[in-house]
Amino acid sequence: MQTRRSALAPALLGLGGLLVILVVWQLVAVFAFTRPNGSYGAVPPPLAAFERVAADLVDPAYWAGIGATAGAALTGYLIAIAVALALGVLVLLLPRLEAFATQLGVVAACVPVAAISPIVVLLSPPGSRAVSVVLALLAVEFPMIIGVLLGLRATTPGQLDLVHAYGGGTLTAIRKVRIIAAIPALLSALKIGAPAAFLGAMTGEFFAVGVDSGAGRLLISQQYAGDFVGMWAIAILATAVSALGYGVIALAARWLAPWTAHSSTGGLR
Amino acid sequence: MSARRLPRWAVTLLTTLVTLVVLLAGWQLAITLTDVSPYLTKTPLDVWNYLFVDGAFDPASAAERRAELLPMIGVTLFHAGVGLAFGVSLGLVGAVVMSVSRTVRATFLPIALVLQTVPLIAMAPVVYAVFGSGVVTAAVIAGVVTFFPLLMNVGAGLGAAGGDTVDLVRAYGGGRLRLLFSVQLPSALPYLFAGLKIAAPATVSAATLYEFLFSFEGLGANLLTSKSYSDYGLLWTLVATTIALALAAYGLVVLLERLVLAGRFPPESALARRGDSR
Amino acid sequence: MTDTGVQLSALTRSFTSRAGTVQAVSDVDLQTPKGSFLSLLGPSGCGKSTILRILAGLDTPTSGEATVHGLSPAELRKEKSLGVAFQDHALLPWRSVEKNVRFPFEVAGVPVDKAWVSELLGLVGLESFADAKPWQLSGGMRQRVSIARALALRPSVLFLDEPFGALDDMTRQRLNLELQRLWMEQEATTVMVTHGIQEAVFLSDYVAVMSPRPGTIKEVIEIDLPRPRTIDLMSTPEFHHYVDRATQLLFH
Repeated sequence: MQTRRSALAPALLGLGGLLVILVVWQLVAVFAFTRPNGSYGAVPPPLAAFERVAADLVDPAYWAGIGATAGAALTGYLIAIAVALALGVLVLLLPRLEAFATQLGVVAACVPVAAISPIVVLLSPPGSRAVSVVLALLAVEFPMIIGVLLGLRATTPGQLDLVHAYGGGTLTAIRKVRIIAAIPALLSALKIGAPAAFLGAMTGEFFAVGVDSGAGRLLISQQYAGDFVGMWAIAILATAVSALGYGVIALAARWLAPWTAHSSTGGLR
Repeated sequence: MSARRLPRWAVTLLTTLVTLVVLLAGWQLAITLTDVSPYLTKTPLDVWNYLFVDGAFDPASAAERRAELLPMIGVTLFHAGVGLAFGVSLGLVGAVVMSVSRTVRATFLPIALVLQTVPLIAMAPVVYAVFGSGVVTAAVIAGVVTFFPLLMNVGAGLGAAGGDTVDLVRAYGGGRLRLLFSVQLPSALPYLFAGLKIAAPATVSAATLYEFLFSFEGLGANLLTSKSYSDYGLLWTLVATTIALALAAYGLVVLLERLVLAGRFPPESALARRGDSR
Repeated sequence: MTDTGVQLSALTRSFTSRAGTVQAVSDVDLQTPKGSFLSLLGPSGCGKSTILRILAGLDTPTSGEATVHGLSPAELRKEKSLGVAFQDHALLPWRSVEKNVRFPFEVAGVPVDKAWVSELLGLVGLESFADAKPWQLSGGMRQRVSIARALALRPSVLFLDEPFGALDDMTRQRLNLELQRLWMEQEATTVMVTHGIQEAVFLSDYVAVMSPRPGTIKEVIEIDLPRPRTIDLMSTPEFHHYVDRATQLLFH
């Protein structure tokens, strides 16, 4: 038997893990990446990076850039949801299509960004964020489709029997049970999709032509300028934004579907 | 209900073929039915002509064009392979260490949980800044997208052996290593493949992204140059090749999974399917 | 024929699968009086659940006929006075206890009898849990909700599919006592599926002992014991006589 630890211990260890990483980061930065003249190399110390994050946070230009990326991410995210829901309706009507829907999702997840991006850029006008939207869409589509399909399967046979035994038809079953039972799996997919969409939109900016703002653009321009502290600050900000997206949906899920943790439904894989 | 009588692999194969045909037809129709420039956009038939029909596109023979493609594919496969090996071994080691030591797990799992949700591949320029141009950068970028799926899936797999099984091994005097090798690793096999299914195509994607942004070799780099030289026949062929490579990586993992798991683990659908007679 | 309860005539249900055709229920005849409690007793795969599903209109027979009170399952449904409970309690996790009990009214399209719903919660001893969610309850409490829900429409016909099958013996025994009390108040024609011999004898007026492959009824035992039956009754020779008879039929 394992001795029972206080609830505090895991939190402390988690904090310890963060500390270990910060210390290693600091040591690597100071001993491996500091130039003889004392300026920082490709890995600046954490404090310098976080100071820059604080400075970036009060700079409206950074907010505009991250906002633009997030906007493209949101557009792709919403289209992916619409596509997944449409496929869900198809599968509901024709269950045979389930394998086909899954494979569309697999293809979307497999398509390499460097292959699809040049084409999107080729076919969209200069300055368009279409490539960010497409990459966000592709990054989100697979988890969304899986979420919808899991949601359709979340209803137990007993729950359907119950509806039918009392004379409820297919529509009643969908309205009263199936849609609500699908919510946890859907929310779980939305949660996973949020950071993935931001990832896609940010990566898209590496390929976009005539787009000057955005988190990805900032990262590239700072790389050209050799502003390593700035790059790390953007990386930290982008991490925070996508973690925020995840967290907001996780909170919303707790409020919208409080039964999730207690039923066998929900979750991917 | 004729599909029920077909074996599972046949159903999978048929669905895959249908999906591919639908996608290719969609590609062909999207271009022929809209008024996009035929100079910029190529259809699947154009790609076919580029690869196999002499005299299409440029004076070079189709064989010469194919011969040019091969080294590019080789370089990309090398980058992706190194990245996959790097990420998979790191992910495996991480998962085993986290499963053996509760302290290590409690210390690093929260951070891993946060990091797996963030746009790591979008940090490619940071990796480039740190490691410069070369196979190390390719390996790190491709490894980053491989590491977390492996760590999380294998980690879950090692934990999947039930508490009763663990007690059983203990009761017969089995130690930690016996538990790991006889129970935990075998029961983690399906999870390993689940992780690889995400990781294998992702390394192709990461490798070509690296090549596109920071290198002069491989499919990714040539996607960029063919576009700059307005060689759209090559561009669309490279696009099709790269996507095919990623899908093949996925397909290979699925095939391997079937071969390794067949007869040892119940097929997924058998768990979900309800019995007919009650 | 108004005094007929359950009537099965040459009821057959076969399933076709890759492995061939299975006779889940084969040429079954059975008749019970109105208001009686019938148990279908047998090992798994003997077709007892299939018969219940046919009666509840969740499955259709390959041939033959099944009626309750002279009504087909579809006609019975239109009467809106039946109740069902399953082993998988099938409570909807997003609904409170009270809203779960109201669910049959909503599906059947009948105005909710709020007074009766709260009375029912009192009858199963859950009045203080009306606003609780299913996951906050113990297994036994969930099955009580499921029984309360089965009684929501003041059913004249009650279908129970191993309603306490997932519970431990002691909880199960206590709930069986409660079920008997509730059933005696409702006077509903009841069909219960079970593989518990003692449970079947304790609750039923008739126990149909079934055997599998193909699913048939071996014998219908009439249980002539006075009601209300008590725990003490279970140690009497009469009770044991019925249990022994059913056991013999099941194992020979």
